[in-house]
Amino acid sequence: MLPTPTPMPFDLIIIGAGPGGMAAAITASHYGSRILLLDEQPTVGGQIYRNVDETAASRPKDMKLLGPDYEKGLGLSKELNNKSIAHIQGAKVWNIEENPSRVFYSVNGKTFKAQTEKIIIATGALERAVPLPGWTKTGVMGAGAAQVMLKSNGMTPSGKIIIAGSGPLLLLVADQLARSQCDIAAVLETTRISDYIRAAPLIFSALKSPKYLIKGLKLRASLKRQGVKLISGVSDIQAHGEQRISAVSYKKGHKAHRLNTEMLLIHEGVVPNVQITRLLKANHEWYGRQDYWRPVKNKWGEISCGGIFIAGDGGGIDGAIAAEASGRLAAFESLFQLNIIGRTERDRLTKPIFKVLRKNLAIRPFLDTLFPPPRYISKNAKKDTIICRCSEITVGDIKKAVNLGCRAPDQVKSYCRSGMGPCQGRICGLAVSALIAEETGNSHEATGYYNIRAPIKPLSLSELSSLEDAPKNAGAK
Amino acid sequence: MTKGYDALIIGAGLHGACTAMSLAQRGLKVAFLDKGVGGRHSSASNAGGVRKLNRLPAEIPLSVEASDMWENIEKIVGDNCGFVQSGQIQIAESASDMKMLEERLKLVKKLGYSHEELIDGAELRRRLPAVAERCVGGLMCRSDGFASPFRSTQAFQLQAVREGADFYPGHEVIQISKIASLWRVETSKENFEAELIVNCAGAWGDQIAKMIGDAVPISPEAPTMMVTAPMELFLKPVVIAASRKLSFKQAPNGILLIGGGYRGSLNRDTGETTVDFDGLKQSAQTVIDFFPHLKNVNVVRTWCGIEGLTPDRIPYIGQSKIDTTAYHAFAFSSHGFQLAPIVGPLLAELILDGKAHLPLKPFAVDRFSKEAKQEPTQTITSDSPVSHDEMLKHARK
Repeated sequence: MLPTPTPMPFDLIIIGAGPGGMAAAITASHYGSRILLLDEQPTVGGQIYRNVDETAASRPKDMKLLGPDYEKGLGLSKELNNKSIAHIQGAKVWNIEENPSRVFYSVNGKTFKAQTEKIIIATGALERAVPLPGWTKTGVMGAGAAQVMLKSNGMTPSGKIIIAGSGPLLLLVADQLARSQCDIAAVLETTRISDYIRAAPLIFSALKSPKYLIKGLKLRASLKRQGVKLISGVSDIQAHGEQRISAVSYKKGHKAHRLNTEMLLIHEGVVPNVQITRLLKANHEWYGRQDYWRPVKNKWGEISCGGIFIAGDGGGIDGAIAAEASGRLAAFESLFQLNIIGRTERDRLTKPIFKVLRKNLAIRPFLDTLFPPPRYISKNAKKDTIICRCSEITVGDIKKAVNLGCRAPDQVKSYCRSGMGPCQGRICGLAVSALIAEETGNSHEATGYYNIRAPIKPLSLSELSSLEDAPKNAGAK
Repeated sequence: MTKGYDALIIGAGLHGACTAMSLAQRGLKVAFLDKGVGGRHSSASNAGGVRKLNRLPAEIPLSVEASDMWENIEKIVGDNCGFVQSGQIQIAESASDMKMLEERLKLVKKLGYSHEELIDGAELRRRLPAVAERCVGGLMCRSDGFASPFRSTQAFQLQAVREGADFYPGHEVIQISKIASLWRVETSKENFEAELIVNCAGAWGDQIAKMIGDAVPISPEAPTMMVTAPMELFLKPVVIAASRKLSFKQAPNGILLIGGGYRGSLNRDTGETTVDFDGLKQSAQTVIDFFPHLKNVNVVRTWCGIEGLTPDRIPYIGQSKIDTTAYHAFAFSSHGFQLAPIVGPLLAELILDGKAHLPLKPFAVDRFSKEAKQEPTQTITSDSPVSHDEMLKHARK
């Protein structure tokens, strides 16, 4: 039985137990602050370290396959489990309010609201939706999603696979699947010669942290050694078949090609998950190199809503090491604002963290320039290509709405119901805004983004009817 | 630059657009302007109920005629507005609910109307097979239904433009003055001059009225809506409750729209609203109480719109008391959607013929200036029931 709930504000609520959230929780817990860590998944780790404890304990073969970058998560998860940090897995945050800050979350069919002084949002990234023709057919999925299955329960796709797209994760997943004896017909890289040329001047900055570059070269060599066909400079990828995919077509140069396959894993990088920061109506900025929105933040990760921080990839895609550093920075600044530590102590403790962060960010301009997201959705996109998969809204539907005078994503949404399904625009938001911008000729900034409203995660009527204040010992071990 | 018109309408929601359409049809040179895109609040974000059932007596004549117009809405505005004549049922959960509905029916009949009918428990279950066991009957209006608020707002605006009215979105009124016989309206963009001015500014109507020179009390509120993921079609009529806050319907695509008068918080200056989930908790419980099988249905969206409420919940429709060239039609008190097609034509008659063909006395703009002190504001919510006493009081007025 839970004790009678009394509204007791927490010092700090952290949302998400990936590298950023775990590091923030561990850091803040050293100072005895009243923390609550909420994470949606059954186990800690986020996407990068997903299910790392269990994999290490029961699937050593997968652990080896996933490599040292995955194993690194064990350090954080062990430390987290040792601490007396109040922490709930399977907690779905569906609303946040500001002034006073309140976090609404559901766990096991019940829903709670918890008042808190500070919030650190560490909800990470989403795999960018790639609405190429045929992307909603059975057998087409994100390469990142395939890796999640491998991490969660050691499952790998069966049958002939084509992996397509760009970005650092693409070759990593290809290599991991090849080493688990998957039948990879080809890896189609959308990176073009011109991208290499544009990225070349940025290589000097990238060399400050050469391990990222070396990792990429090693993956390429490993794939070649295993006989996986790498085809670069590919464009116009399409998935064919009835309900299920049966073939992939693409262009290389001016020549059209077609390959039979049972599965297409597509990946064009990851983008910040901005649902919560959009819900809060925080200021966002457009990051043109990678075509995504990110919340405006100061060096501690504090967004335009005071006392609320973003840590990790949710504030811009910088990878796991940077996420961990940004989680610690947000935690130290929260402790400072809560008068738990002084300014001098904060500055002394955070100096080495800033150094780590700087070193790990050095590679980003190079990577972000080398792997620009290709525009699958453009003026030339096929009219019947689905763009919002929840409501099956096509490119043609969006164009029609724009022709009728809609200029902003919310007007398009009212008109043709795009972004109104269970995902709340999480999947189609970027693509719909980009298409509107292209049709109207307006900038991304002028076009804007969906107005995101609670609940950002589906919530059943019985969950909602159970809403009450979170018990003050919520999540205590 | 100043633009000249015969009539200028402030507010491009449903009633503003319809008034622009009606005046343009009668040959006037008309402009309708809005600080936003028009109809962002009440008009386009309401529950979409097309309801005669349980109307305040003063509104019944208008509502009955509007109902006939909804049946031909495509002929009037060039789009069917998503109108579905599904019927509406007000459910009784207890014998005392049923008694209240019986009294209501007596009143409606006494006033000479026959659109409402009582149904017993068996008939209720035949029409709503999924309704909870303890519901005992209801009051029904077969010719009621629902429509799409967004589509309707857009259709009315487009029709006004087709009739020749000029539409100025993004023009926020800053000042209104009268120079000789002309109204001068300064906005955030151009300025306008016109012989006639009509205030259809919804929840901001009192501010526009004040600029014109009329003191008209309203209270702004933010009714909340929630929408679920699509589910199997199980509900045809729109459902309201006799003694609880509920307005409930299933759209043709399977989603459920749940309203009923729970209020969010609002900022009238910025137009921003915040959903109050403590209120929606009650709303979710009410839905489960009436339809227990819905407990696992997911809510995917919630929103509020800002609505203007009058002290007696009857909208203001009529001439200004200080100037015969100014008119008001606002504060529909969260039940103005169904009245959308009728108010414009009535105003056009009032303005151009000096008299409307339906009684507008109960809607007089100055009705609170005399008796504001003796009659305290009562809380009557839109889609929620109004007591029998309340009804009779309005009927006698």
